[in-house]
Amino acid sequence: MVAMEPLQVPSQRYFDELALGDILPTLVIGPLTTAHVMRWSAAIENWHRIHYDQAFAIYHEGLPNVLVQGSWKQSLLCRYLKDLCLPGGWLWKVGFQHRAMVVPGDTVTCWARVTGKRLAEDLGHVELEVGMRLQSGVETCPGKATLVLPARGGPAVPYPFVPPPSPARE
Amino acid sequence: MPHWIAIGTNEAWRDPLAFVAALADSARWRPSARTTVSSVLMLDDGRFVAECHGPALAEFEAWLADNGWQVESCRRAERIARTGSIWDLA
Repeated sequence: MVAMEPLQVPSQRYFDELALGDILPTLVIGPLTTAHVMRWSAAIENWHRIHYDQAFAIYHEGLPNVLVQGSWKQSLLCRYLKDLCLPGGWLWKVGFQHRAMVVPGDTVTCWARVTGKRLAEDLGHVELEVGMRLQSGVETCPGKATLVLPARGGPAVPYPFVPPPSPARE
Repeated sequence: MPHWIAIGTNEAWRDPLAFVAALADSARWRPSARTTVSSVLMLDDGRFVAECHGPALAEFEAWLADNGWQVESCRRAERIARTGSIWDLA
């Protein structure tokens, strides 16, 4: 018999607790296997052979192995940043580049560093430098993100968070 | 992408634990972003066969040297049949 574990409710991270240069907790996944790659391809119905046919990947495409999907990396980085906001914050913006291949055998570490913060309408906007490092230290997904976090004693972040209008362009 | 097959000896790698330690981590079989040592076989006479593809033979030769290989031969492969699939490597 399998007992259900209680849901883990993370403690809220507040705007006030963060300072410029802070390194946020990391998320480590791996070593990845071909099973991870195959399951993701099945889940999103991505049937490109570079994700499941090792001989094709190596001998036809000249790749090191089957490749971990870019969409998996996108999803993982968003999950990581979303989890940093829970339960009451909001992942507002994220953008990153795919710079290096990830293959079975690799372990990835999602990381984030605070590069800016400001209060807007009593909500904390936190700018981050983010990425996903391989065990070798190679950065595969450098990027930036913006979280919206509550300030201590301030209002809750609306759900859903509605971004403020962009400044009008001249 | 050129493929090469090297045959040689490596005394340290005859120990199974050393073999695993030398090759399990992907960083060990990917000497660079574009060069991959895709397989290593140990023969029953103690010799090894390694298969590599990449833009330059020099990276494979450096990997063999760094890992203590005594290389008997290293040749470029032109085609391969793998469980019924034929791949032209030339």
